[in-house]
Amino acid sequence: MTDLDQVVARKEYKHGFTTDIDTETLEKGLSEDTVRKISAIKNEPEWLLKFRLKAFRMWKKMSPPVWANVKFPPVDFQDMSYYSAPRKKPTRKSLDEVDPEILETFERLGIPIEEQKRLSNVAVDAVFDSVSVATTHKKKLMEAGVIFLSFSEAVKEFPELIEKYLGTVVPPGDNFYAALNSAVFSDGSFVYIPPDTVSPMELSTYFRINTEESGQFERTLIVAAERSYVSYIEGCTAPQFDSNQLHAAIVELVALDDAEIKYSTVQNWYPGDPETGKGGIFNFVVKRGKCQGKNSKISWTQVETGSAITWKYPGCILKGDNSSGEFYSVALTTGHQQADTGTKMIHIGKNTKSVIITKGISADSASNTYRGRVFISPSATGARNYTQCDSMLVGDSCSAHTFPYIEGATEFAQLEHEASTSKISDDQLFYFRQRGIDAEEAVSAIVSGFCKDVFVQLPMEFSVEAQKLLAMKLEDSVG
Amino acid sequence: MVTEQAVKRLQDCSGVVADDLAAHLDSSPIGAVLTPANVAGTERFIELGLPHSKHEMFTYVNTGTVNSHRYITAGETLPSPCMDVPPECSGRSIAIINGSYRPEYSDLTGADGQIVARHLGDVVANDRLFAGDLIRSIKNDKDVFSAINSALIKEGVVIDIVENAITEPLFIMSKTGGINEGAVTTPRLSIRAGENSRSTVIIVTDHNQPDIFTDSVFEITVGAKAHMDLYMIQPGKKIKKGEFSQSFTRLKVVQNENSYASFVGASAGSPLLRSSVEWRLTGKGCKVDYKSLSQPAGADVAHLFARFVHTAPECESDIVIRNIVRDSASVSTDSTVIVSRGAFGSVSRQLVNNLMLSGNGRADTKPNLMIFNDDVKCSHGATFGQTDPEQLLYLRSRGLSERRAVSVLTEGFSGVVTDAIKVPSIREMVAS
Repeated sequence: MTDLDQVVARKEYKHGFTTDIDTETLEKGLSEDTVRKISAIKNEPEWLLKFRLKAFRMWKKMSPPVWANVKFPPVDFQDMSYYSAPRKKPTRKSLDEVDPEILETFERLGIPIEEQKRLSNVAVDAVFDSVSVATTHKKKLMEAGVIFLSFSEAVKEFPELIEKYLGTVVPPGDNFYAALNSAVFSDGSFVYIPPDTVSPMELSTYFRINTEESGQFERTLIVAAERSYVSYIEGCTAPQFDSNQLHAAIVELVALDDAEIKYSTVQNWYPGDPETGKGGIFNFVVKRGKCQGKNSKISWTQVETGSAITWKYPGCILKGDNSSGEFYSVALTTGHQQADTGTKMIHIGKNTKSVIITKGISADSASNTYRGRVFISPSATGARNYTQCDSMLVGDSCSAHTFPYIEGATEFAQLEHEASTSKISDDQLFYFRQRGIDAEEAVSAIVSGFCKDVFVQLPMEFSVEAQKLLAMKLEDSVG
Repeated sequence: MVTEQAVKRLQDCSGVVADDLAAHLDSSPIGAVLTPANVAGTERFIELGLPHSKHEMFTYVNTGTVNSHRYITAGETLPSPCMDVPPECSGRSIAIINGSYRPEYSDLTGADGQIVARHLGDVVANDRLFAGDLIRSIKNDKDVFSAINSALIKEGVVIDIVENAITEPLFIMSKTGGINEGAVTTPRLSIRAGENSRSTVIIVTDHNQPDIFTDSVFEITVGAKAHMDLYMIQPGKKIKKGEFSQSFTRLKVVQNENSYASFVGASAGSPLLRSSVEWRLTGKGCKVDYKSLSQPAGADVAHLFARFVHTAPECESDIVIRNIVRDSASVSTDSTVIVSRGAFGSVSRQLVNNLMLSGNGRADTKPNLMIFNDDVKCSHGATFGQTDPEQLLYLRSRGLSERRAVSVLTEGFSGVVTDAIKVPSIREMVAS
């Protein structure tokens, strides 16, 4: 029985365990002093401390956004710790130096770092609470000129690259959670693909929140230089606590001339108790890519199944002429989950193109909202956008909402948007039942077909996992 | 009497600076009958606060312009309406001048008693049920300008279409004119279409006067099994370049069981035009066909904020919104279909098309869906683009000038809306 089969058999949230390891955690509360402490622990250069402090001062003047279609109790930002890390020496030459408990944790999560290091063609960076604990395949990637490091290591080894690109896509003052992350981000991943290089393997980061009263604030920065290509995969889990944990991350992508970045996410943070809605992760993430160079391309693919509250809009700034952005998303909410997610496509360059395909599935008492913005600036002549956002409702207590913002300020552009909301029809179910397939499997197959346009965009292994994850999540939702 | 504090707050915040606001309200020709409505409106305005662009209702409205203009209440000059009543409506016309119902210029001799018009104050004084509904409606209204209208109304008209009536088209002209610049007028109209009635109502709003703020509220109830064709037309502007006027209209429609309503709205543009629509399908099996066409030009700004709320089972809404943008005009559409928990079997289609005829114009569109029920079929679509170059080439190759070719394509684009007008003279007026 494979790990995934076991998961499907177990029904409950499989990642809900905690790992008992010795951690170094900062005391609760957020002040300028906290920011300085984080920077000092990480032995950061002066310019990065200044960056953090500037963000913190901006954050202090901001208030949390209230426009999203989600309801949750106010977050007490002084009642959490802003840094938690396994108490092990920070620099590791090999995985042998990583705490075996952590390695075991990632094995249980289905992220076999050891095995992948030897066998697979995927390089993994594992981020545990606030810090990166293991990055595999570094040497092989370095030979190809690809930099794939934890953020802290990258700051030390390639400070000029970090300083050049950090905050260029998501500036510290962009919004409340961007300012918070910029002030207290602890670690994350940095990727640089040099010119004329195709990454020799897919890169992957696995995020894990382990501590109950700490938030996770990682930061990912990916720069694809001229004519380069990289595919990057991200996965997330957290243990099962009755309290809510905050995850406020930033992902910045920069694609230069003719470069392409493909970013895939399977998000399965703990969604809270399905009966009571207690606990779960507040997932407030800012993800944005900038197609800076001409003919560049950024593609976001996400499968969102976890988190109590999701507030996330991966977007593209299409600045380079002929650049293109893509967004493919499946968002499944069950139990008491609430998701307000979508994308932003900002067309600035000439002949820029964007495609948005989203599938929202809402079951039980959950709420699922698509919110997307397509903006065509006056300079974006010849711009083209196609948007399709479909919603499916499973059960009579759930809700599905669509809020597209289509803003055009030039004559020479074409935008098309279409959306639909429907339920699984009795005819469809009857067709399956007639062939001896029970209702649960039938719903799973129909949902899988509904999301096919998105699944085909995922790397193969992820696509299979995502489909099984969806099937597992929908169990018991069919009345 | 409106409380002194409320009057002061209204004066401070609403842009209305009449020193004699209380006197204005007290000078109502119908006495203090509407004072409870004025009080409710003022309190509602204070609750809602001044509009700003962070309010979802005003995302695309330049609220700075709205708030910076200071207005005074309109004087008492009530000119002749000079109405051109369409031939189809002969003997069935109603005049509302600067917000006041003018029976002397109205004519219902051709209505055979099937249409009855009365002063709002008379109805409020004699119909406690209506008076209660009016206050409830004011207290629940989420539109701040509707609250200002309620706070300032001195007058209004209630039109009843009697049960089982089959009427010829009714023409209603709401006109502003002959008053001091910088004045605010507050037309208020209620139409109640009785059960099983069949009616056509044409409302023409002619409020494009320099430096005038017209803040209208139209409330319409369509009775069970009634059928209503409703046309709301805003003709071309008469003001010069550089002059400013604001015309805000709040349209609230409630449909009862098995009723049918078709709506065509057409506006030719105004310096600042805002339509706020709340359409409630409250009875089982009712249906609405909603079509609107907006054609701003110059530096005009047109905004449509619409909510279609399905609260009863098996209702259907079909919504088509078309905008043609010329010069440096801007148009915005924020339209939402809401299907409530008990509204099973709902069907809704929503389509917004923007045709850009200028590189300096702007079109913002938000076609939203909010679905709280799983037994629904809802869809929406939106497009944004210019005239098709291939279609233009086709017409040019047949000898049409570019201007004529664009005109033909534009007529085709707007025809989806204008063709739905069943009254020939009104259709011609809109098409021209």
